[in-house]
Amino acid sequence: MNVGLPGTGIGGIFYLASTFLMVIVEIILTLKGKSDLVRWRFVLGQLGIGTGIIFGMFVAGWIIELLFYLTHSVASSYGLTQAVPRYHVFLIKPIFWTLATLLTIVVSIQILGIVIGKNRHLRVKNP
Amino acid sequence: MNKSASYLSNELTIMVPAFNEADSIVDTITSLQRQTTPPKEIIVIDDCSSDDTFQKAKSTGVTVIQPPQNTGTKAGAQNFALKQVSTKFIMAIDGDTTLAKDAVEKLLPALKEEHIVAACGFVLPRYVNTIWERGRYIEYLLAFTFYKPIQDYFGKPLISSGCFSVYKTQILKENGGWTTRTMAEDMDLTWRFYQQHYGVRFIPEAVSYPIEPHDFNFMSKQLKRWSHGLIQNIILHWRGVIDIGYLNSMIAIALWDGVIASIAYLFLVPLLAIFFAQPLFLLGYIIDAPAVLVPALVKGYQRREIGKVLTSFPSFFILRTINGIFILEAVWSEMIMKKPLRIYEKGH
Repeated sequence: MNVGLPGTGIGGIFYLASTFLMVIVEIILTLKGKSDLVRWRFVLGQLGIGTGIIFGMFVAGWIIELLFYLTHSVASSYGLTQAVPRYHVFLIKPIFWTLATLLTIVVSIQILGIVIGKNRHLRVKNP
Repeated sequence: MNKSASYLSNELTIMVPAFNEADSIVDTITSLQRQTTPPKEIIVIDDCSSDDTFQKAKSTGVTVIQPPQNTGTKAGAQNFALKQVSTKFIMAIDGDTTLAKDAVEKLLPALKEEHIVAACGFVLPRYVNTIWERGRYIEYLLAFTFYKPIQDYFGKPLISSGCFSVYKTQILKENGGWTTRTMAEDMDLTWRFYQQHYGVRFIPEAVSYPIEPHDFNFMSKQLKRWSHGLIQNIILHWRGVIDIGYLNSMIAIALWDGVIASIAYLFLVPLLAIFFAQPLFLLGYIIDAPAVLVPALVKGYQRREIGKVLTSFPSFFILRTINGIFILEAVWSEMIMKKPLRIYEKGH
């Protein structure tokens, strides 16, 4: 079952961040002697996919940027349009704001979870 | 053959709820009978079909039962059969779903761990021909190759898919089986398990092949059901799951994306392109293409289906747009207008 917009929005970034978190978790487990090769193979496989996605997004962004710049350069040389500076499709600010949104949602939910969970336990203790 | 799975399958009943599945039921039953570790019993629940589902199922030699009247939902049909099941494990398969030969063998051992009460497998469309089937194919490749294994790593697969899951019968019965209070009974059941501190697993090696919607009419009924099911379950369970780590984040983000990303996708992007006379904004529709294509190609390479992945890829963006419309409608209807969807329509 898949609803919503798979791939888009902060969901995609959430899972990308999760792959890096998996590596950290696995390092901690290895230091505690609780990991194994099978687990590492799986984690590195998912990290590989995540890294491939990030690399693919940069390549796609670079290609789009180049195409846009070239088309405008050709058009402007014929006087069809004004020359434009090279756009950077991947701007740092939007990526920063997306990560900030993701962090805000995750942290807010955890705080809400602690508060509501605590209230629930108190109600159970003192009905 | 896995000896442990063979031992466990002597304690397995597979139930197949079916309503007007005459075209597919024999294929489903045959795939179950040909499993490397066959179950102890196969029960088909013919939910008073108007076609010859009952007769065709009966001709395969399995147990076929029929409730006194149509139950109206898949959950209703499954609960009717649940009372009769006495084996330790029960597997639910949709009437239009076939399994890979070793699907049961791969899935069943997941229940050996004491706290694991349900397990689900990989899902891929049986037919990949129309735009809708192709879009769904890419969607599943993304979700089951990238998202769901990560969810499983953190112990929280979002849903144990209703089309192919196995359960511990006792726990299922203690939970009253599948409820009909939402349009997504599989999600309701999974989230109830988590609230009771049980575990659910995803086993990607166990593969199932349901028939996916092949036209817009069928697809729209399914998407409407799924979208409303998600929102209904969020409304129903939010207090109970809000303190369950990782699950709470997944659900919050899914809701955020379902609303905000859908609004951006459907309205903001085209409005910005028109208002600023800047077609560059339309790249917003495809700029995350690698985020979908990379996992799809990884699985496509493993399955030797690279060509199928590449030719199906553009269909994903059409299906995604339609998805956005349905999720927004579900949020509007369920959360704002308080008009829940109650009629279960499969669509075929």
